[in-house]
This record gives sequence, structure tokens and C-alpha cells, in this order.
Amino acid sequence: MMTDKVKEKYSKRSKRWKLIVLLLIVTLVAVVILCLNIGFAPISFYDILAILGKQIPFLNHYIGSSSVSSINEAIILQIRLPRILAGAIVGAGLAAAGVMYQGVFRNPMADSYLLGASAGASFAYTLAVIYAGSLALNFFGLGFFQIVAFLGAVLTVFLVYFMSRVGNKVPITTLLLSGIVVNIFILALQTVFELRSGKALIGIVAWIAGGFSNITWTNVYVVFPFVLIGIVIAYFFTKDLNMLSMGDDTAQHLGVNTERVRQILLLISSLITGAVVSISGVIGFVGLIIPHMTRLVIGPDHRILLPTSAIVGAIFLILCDSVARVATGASELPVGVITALAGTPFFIYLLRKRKTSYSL
Amino acid sequence: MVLLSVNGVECRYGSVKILEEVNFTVNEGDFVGIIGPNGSGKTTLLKSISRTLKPYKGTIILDKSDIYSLKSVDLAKQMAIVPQESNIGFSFSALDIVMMGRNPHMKRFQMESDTDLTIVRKAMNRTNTWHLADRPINELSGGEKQRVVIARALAQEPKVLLLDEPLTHLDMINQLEIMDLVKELCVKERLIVLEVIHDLNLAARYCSSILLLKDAKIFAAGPVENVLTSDNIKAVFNVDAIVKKSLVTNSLFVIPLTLQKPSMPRNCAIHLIAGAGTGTVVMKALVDEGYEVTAGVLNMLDTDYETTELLKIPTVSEAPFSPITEQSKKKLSEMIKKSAIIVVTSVPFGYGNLSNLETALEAVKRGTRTYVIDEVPIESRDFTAGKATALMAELKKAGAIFIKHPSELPTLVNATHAKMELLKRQPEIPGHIKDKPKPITQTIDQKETI
Amino acid sequence: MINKAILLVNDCILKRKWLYRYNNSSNVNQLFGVWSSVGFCVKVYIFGWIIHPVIRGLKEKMNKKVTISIVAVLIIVVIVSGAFIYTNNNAGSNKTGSQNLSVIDDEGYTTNFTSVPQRIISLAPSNTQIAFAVGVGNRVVGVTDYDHYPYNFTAWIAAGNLTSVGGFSTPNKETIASLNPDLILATPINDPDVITLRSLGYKVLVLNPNDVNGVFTDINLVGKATGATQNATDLVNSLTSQINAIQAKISAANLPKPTVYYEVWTPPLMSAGTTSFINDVISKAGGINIFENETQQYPTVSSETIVQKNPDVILLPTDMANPGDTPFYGSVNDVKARPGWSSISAVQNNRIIVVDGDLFAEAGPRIADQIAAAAKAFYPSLF
Repeated sequence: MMTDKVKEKYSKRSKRWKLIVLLLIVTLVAVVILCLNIGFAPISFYDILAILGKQIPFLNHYIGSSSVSSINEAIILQIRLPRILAGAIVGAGLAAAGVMYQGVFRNPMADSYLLGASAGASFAYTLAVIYAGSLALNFFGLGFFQIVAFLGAVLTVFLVYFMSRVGNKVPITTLLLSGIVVNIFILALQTVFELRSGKALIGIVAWIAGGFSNITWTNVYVVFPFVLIGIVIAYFFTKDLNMLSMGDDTAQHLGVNTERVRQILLLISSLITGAVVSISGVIGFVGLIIPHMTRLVIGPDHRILLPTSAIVGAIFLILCDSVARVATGASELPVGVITALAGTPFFIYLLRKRKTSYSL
Repeated sequence: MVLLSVNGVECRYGSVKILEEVNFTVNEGDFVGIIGPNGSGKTTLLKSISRTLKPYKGTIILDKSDIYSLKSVDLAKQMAIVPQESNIGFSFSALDIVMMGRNPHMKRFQMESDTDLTIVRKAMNRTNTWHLADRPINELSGGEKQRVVIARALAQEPKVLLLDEPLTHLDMINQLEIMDLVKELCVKERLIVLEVIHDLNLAARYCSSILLLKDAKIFAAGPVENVLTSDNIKAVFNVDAIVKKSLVTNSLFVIPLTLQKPSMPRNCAIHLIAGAGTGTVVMKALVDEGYEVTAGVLNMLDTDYETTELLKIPTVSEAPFSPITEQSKKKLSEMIKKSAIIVVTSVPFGYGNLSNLETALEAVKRGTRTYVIDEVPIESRDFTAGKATALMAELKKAGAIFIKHPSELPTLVNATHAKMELLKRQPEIPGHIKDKPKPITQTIDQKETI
Repeated sequence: MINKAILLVNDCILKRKWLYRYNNSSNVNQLFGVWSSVGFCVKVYIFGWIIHPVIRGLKEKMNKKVTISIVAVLIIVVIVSGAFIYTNNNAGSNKTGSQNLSVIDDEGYTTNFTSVPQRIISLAPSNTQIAFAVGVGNRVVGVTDYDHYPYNFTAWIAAGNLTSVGGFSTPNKETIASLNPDLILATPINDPDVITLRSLGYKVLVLNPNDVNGVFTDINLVGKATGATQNATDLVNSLTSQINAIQAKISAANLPKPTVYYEVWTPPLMSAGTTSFINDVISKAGGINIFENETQQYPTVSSETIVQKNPDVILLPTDMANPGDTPFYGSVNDVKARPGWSSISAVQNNRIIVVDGDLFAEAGPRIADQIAAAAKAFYPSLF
């Protein structure tokens, strides 16, 4: 009987969701291991497993430690692994932030760069390179540029938010417009400074274009908590996001404190975006399209959409980065190019194959 | 006993008052219809109760607590709103949408329990939307969508239900179904329902009380019969309407008449001899043109008599079921003597009203300008074995002007009146032959000569 | 059937014929790169197709036990990876021990050497030139794609005798790592990579010569770091005497100094300011750079300013990759035809000289040659 089938489907829903997330995590782990195989240096799969195995305290003893050269070990553990993990973290962060922005703004064209995070980070980075170049190298080491970019991103978003405040409320259209205006403004300043940057221009442009060529373990350690904690906290608000997507008034009438929820979500996603941009530059497409792709398959319920988008974003970016690493000889393609080239046809395929009804 | 009381509420938009001095109380089981012209503050009132718009002054108390002191969630457990339109872009299933109504009752991390599902199912069954449970909301028709939204409101298990013009995009059957449903819920579950509605007839039929708003204030409030009167309607909507009780539905219904055109009073009296509904349109037209219309003799049960009451036209009336008495005939004569023009409609003549025709003939012979609307040939409406026809012929001989179509009347009458005015002002030209009604052969095709 | 497919996939993954390149030739690299990505995608799809019925089966049997076990496995994996990541913190640490050599580079960073570097990677053509000039060219194992002086490195790379580490801004860390260098010579452009490389434990010297003295300092620096101090000193002396000779001739002749405009780039018009090596070259060659007071290293300038400053000599560099006779953005006539330029003294007197763009590309040991070429352009009667 139809009604019973519906009821059954519905009550089993949470179990199905858990299964989906589990499977995606397993896929992610598999992709990470597979992509460790990709790269300039020829290292066999057995060697890779051996290198990984050596790190696990118990399995240490079962693996012949002499079979693996230290160069290969360094390459796998110091270069490839952190890079892949960074790709996962950045992909997850961008996708999750994209889901949040699309939900808050009720706009399918929103991604987390809307309120100026990318412009702010790029501009701050440009200024830092021009005016603090070698200074930074010596006194602050790794962290300086990342911190500057992160601060640039976050401060710009705060600026946009407080610019749009009217009394206690922040109307969405004002927020959007402020974001657009600030983006344009900062980009203009950016251009001026780029022209003044001389030789550093190549480096600046390359950084902004996005890439994982300079990832170290410190980068991974620093950004991972931002993304993980951010996504976990955001998960608490997914039900509210569902209702926000019906409209502010409706959400309020259903008991959602719209202003507070919006603030929190924007804060979290901006922090995530800032953290992520600070290590990988501005990578486009992921935050905009991955939520849509996931939504086409899984439906608009944010309780499942958020975690799945994050994992799909992670997998997607790892794969794209792997292609970027090896596509053209010793130098690399910018990852943003690969994300756009790879993602667009797949997205079009999904759009065309779209079903008219979702499973519960 | 749950009460919703609104005290001294005033809402402003900037410094403009869009709602002021609103005071009323609603009990449980009360179905209140909020009606009024556009811009009178209906939606504002609803917004202030639903906390979408904070009032500048005043308090709203629900069940002993000020609603503005409650948390969003707590209010949502007691009050549900059905907005006018729901534009839901994301393709949630109908079931998901209704399930959102359970949100105020669920804790942050709870997934929906079986109880929630049961409540949702019940709500959807009552709104006849359970069969749509699986379908994405953005594929449903307007009516189905609206019913789903109502189901969502029901799932909140509210004590107060607010609806903002919920019937706007619905067809007739859907409108009736929803009103039926809301009424049933109101009565059975003892809800407080406030609905902003444009359709006065539906309001009259389903609501137990009405709030009539005008110019940001409450114009009238109370039970339907008290508020929905043609006086009130005229005062608030500036529309002439007849309010009658339908014996079939046992509720009032409103029949709006055509719009009144403002016109200059002409200081010219026209008397109308009509009956059986033939005179209503003419009466209205002449009143619109600014004439002082009188009528008679009309039987009190006659439809035209109702119209005279509505349009406040002085009439000579006769008791129901009796023929015209001498007394009435005399009154009629006196009235006609004061009139400059007489109009006779295509009223059927029987022995009961034949004397009207006789009185008219006297007037014509006296020289009063008379128009007879001859739309239906006298033979077919003569129930006096030819006497009426004969009288008509004499009227014609005496100089009455016969018109085929009532629509030509106003023009002719206006022309006559203009001439009369002209003659009044201009002195007589010596040697000029005074206007005398020419005998018989005059028809409407020929030009009148002075 | 399924077994066969699984074996096939296993084979591909383990042997990984398509996942990496065997030789270093760049043309072949590109092809393999594209194919490897395609191959990888195909493998993933096959993998998915095989796994799919398994997943479906799992879905049906999904119950508490299975969930718990999968979750337990995942938790173990997370804990273990966490531990492994943590213990890996200090990979690539600097070898401590007796530090017999301490070198401070142009950015003020101190690098300690405990042994003489035998495997050198250069991340910029100027550094390659310095390395070869102090005689340690045989120790160079990696260069960029843009190196072609003093040898045809592109051919060497193609032949597999040398490895390319990429372009200017994106040196490939894996390549670098697989070459196992003990000295990396970088420029400030590579700053972000330098940070990474140092954190991986490599010794990196950042060289940034902006004038003749800077070049000499860097030559000595590299010489010191590579144990070729004598060669370095000799080279510096030789270059110094070359430059001194040129300058002596110029001062002896006592001719008026020409004002010079050097066009670094167009569009937009870009010239060299105070802090660029070109400025130093011009002045040491007896000329006056019309933009010598510009603080920016490579300022964008306007046509109007150039016309107003009315240089006596205009120097136009050729395309660095294809040396020839024409400046890389058009012909000399095109330049002469620029609006307003007909009034410039250099144009009227036909003192527009095309110089070798490659020679003037960076400051390095060829700086003496640069000065010679410039002097020839300024004082044709003397040289």
C-alpha cells in the first residue's frame, strides 16, 4: 500500500543517510591511497604501502625497512601525502562553505567567495609579498603569508557584514550588494598593486590562481581543525538551514532565530574559507558546483547535503589536484583550471539525467 | 479558555501610521475574518500578530503572555501562519515540508520520531494531501501547494491559526474546501483563527465574526450580521451593495451594484413608473445622472421597491398583494405634479397597477414630458384584456415619446433637461410659437423641432 | 568474469604502467601526463562498476552489527593515522653535527653546510650561470625550463642527462626531492617554494643580485658554499678588470654622457628603475638612465615622459627565446613610428640599438658582457 511504503521509507531515512556517509568516507580513504600513486617520481604501489605501513606502530615490525629508499619515503610522506590531505581538507571546506552560503542566501549562484573572502585574501597576500617579502621569510617562516591571507579574508567578510547592518538586522540583498561592491573595490586595488609588484607578479598571480604545490604538514595541521570543527558546528544548524531555504518569514514562524543562525553560519563558513584560501589560494568551482551536484543526487535536505557535499568536494579536489600535478611535464597546471574542466561536463550530465522526484 | 487579545496596537512605517488604535479580543473557537479595502491595514494587522512586524505601541497577549516576550520557538508551538504565497524553490518533498511544521516541538538534534510522523500524516490526511507526500513541492499545483502549507501549519498543533489571503490563487472548489476545513478545525479543535480575506461572501458564510478595517483603523467589529451591512460596505468600500440572507446557505451574501459615478445634482425631478424589476437599472442610471428620482406606485414586495429603498428614492408604496388604492393614486398624482419628466418602463400591467397608467395619461395631457420605454411590445405585457394597450395608444396620441431601448433614455432625458434649462433662462422670443407636443406621428427617427 | 576483471584492475594499479613517466623528456612527459589522467579516470570507473553490486548487497543487509563494525574500523583508522601524522613531524630535519661552513644569502638567511654540496639544483637561469661560471657546473643536476646559457640545457634535458624542475614560479617539489640535492639556488620569485623546501630540510640559498656588486657578492657566495672560493675570486677579478677597462676607455675619451632609455617590456611600456641591474649596467657603461630616479624596480612609464626626457639612445631587447634582429614586440620602424616619438633625439639620429634580450635577461656573470654591449651602443666610436 502506497502510504505504508512512504512511511517505511521515511522512518528508515536516517539509517540510509548514515550508510551513505560511511561509504563516502571509505571512498575518500581509498582515493587518498590511490592518488599517492600519482606523481612525477616513479614509486611502486608496494613501496607506498610499505612506507605507510612503517608509520603504523604495530605493523612496523612486519615490514622490511630496507626496501624503501629514503628519498621515496620523503617524497611520499613529506610531499605527496600532505598535499593530498590538504586537497581533501580544502575541498571539504569549500564545498561545505558553499552549501552554507547557498542556504543562507537562498541563491544557487552563491559560493563562499561572495562576501569578499577571496578578494581580501588575495589582496592581503599581494601586499604582504610586496612590502614584507624577505622580512617574512626570515622572521615568521611558514606562517606569515598564511596568517596574512587568512586575516585578509576574514576581515573583509566582517567588513561587508557590518557594512550591511541596519539596526539589528542584516537584510540579505544588502549583504549581497555590499559583497559585490567590496569585491570590485578590492580587485581594483589589487590590480594597482599587481602592476607595481615587478618580478613578484608571477608569484602573486600563481598563488592566487590556486594550487597545492607548497603544502607542508604545518599547513595541514593548522587548517584541519578549522574545517572539521566548522563542519561539525554547522551540522547542528542544518535543520535550520532547511527552514531558512523556505524564506526568512516562514523560518521565523517555525521557530528559527533567523538572524542568529545566519550570523553563525556566515561566521563559520567565512572562517573555513579564510583558512582554506590561506593555504591553497583561490580555487573556484568547488564551492559553487559541488553542492549543486550533490543536491541533484541526494536532495535538498541539508542534514545529508552538508556532510556529503564536504566529502564529495574532498574527493573531487584530490582527483583534480592529482591531474594538475602530472598533466604537463614538470611544471603544474593551476588546479582551478582542472576543477572547471572536469567538473563542468559531469555537472551537465547530472543536470540532464535529473529525476523528477527524490527518494525520501 | 485561550484568549488572544490585541490592545492599543499601532504600527508605523517610518512616521506613517499604517495601523492604529486596534483593540479586540478573540476566543477559542472563533473564526474571525479580517476584511477591508486594499491598504486598510489587514496584512499589517496579521503581521503584527505573527511577530513579523513589531508594533510601535500596544501589546498582544496570547493566553496570558505577551507574545513579544516569548521565544521564537515557544510562539511557534502555539501559533501557525499560512502565508499568501509559498515560493519554495528547493524540491523538498511534500512530506518534508509538512514535517518542518514539527520543528518547534523537536529538539535541535532530534530526528523525526514516529509520533511526529503520525501527526504529520494526520495533518496531511485532513488536508487531503497525503497522496502527494512523495512528490516534490515545486511540482504541485497552486491549490495542492496551499493545502500542503496548511498541513504544515496544522502539524505545528497550534492554538492560533493565521491565514493571509490563502484563497487568492485557488479555484472555486479549492476555496470552498479550504474554508470548510478551516472552519471545521476551528470548531472541533477550538482554535483561534484569523483570516484575511477579500471575498465578502465567503467571509460571511464561514466566519463567526468580522473585523472590518478602514484607513488603518477598525471600522467595525463583531458578529457577521452586525458588521456586514450595506451601510458599512458603502462607507468602507464606497460601493453600493445589497446584503441579503440566502435561505439556502443560511448566511448573508453581498450583491454589489454598479459603481456610483459622482455627478452634479440637476435639480430636476423625474418620476418613474415601473415594477417587476424593470425599473432598477433605469433608476440607477437616472440617479447617477443627478436627477431627483421618485417612483410609484410600487408594491412592497416588488424588486424595484427594494431598489428604491437602497437608492433612497421617495416612493409611493402599496401594501403587498393589494391593488392600488385611491389613496395611493392620489399620492401618486401629487408626486407627479412635482415632476418635470415622467418615465414609464416596460412593466407588465395587470388590474393591480393599471391605475398608474391612467395617472400617467393625465400627466401627459397636462403637458408633462413623458417617455415610455417600449422595449417589450405592450400587447405581450397586457394582462388587462386590452385596457392597457388602449391607454398606451392614448398616451402616444397625447404626445408621449416612445423609446425602443432603455439605454437611449439618459441621453434623451439629458437633452430635454438641457432644453428646459435653456428655456428657463432665455426670455421668450416674441412671435415664436411655444413648444407644443405634436400629434401622433412623431417617432424617434425624426428630429424634434422647436 | 568478475575475478578476471579484478585481476586486470589489480594488475594495472600495481604495475601502474600509465601512472608515471619513465623518462624525463618533456614532450613525452606531456603525452604521458594526459594519458595517465585519462587512464586513471577509466580505472576509477571500472572500480566503481565492480564495487557497485557489493554496495547494493551491503545496503540490504545493513544492520546494527555491520554499522558498528564499519564505524569501529574507521575510528581505528583515524586514530592510527593521527598517530602516524604526529610522529612524522620531524621528517627531514637538518643534519646536526659539526658545522664547518655558514653562509648568509641575499635575504639574510643563514644556511649551515657540513659538507661540500655535490648535487646542485638551480631555480633560475642567473643562478645556473653563476654555478657554471665558478666551475661547479658538473655538480648541477637540475635546472629550469628556461635555462639555455652557457649550454644548450634543453638538449641535455631531452637526452636525459639533466632534469628539468619546471618553470619559474612552479618548481616541482617531487622532482627536486627525487634528485636529492644538497644545495638549491633560488631567487626571490621562488620565496614560497623556498619556505617549503627549507621546511623539508633542503639547503636553499636565495640570490638576488641587483647590480654589479651584487653579482660579485653572489659569485663569492656560491663559491664559498660549493668550496670553489678560488674560482669565484678569480672570476670576480676577471670581471672587475673587464669592467674597469671599459670604464677607463670611456673616461679617457671624455665624451658627453648620453641619456638612455631601455625598454624592458611593452605593453605597457616598462623601463628599469634605480634598483634594477639594468640601471647599474647603463651607468657603468657610461650612460644615464632616464628613469634612474624611479624607485620602483621596473616602473610602468608613459610615452609622454619618454618623449619629454628625450633620450639620446634607445635600447630595445630581442625576444629571449628567439634571438634575432628585431625587438620582440615589432620592428625598429614600428618603434620610430610611435606617436610623438619622431621628436626624440634618439629617433632622429637613428641611435636605436637592438640588443640581445637573452644577454640582458638577468644579472649574472655575463654582466661584464652586458656592460660591454651597452658601452658599444653608447660610444660607437670607441668600441
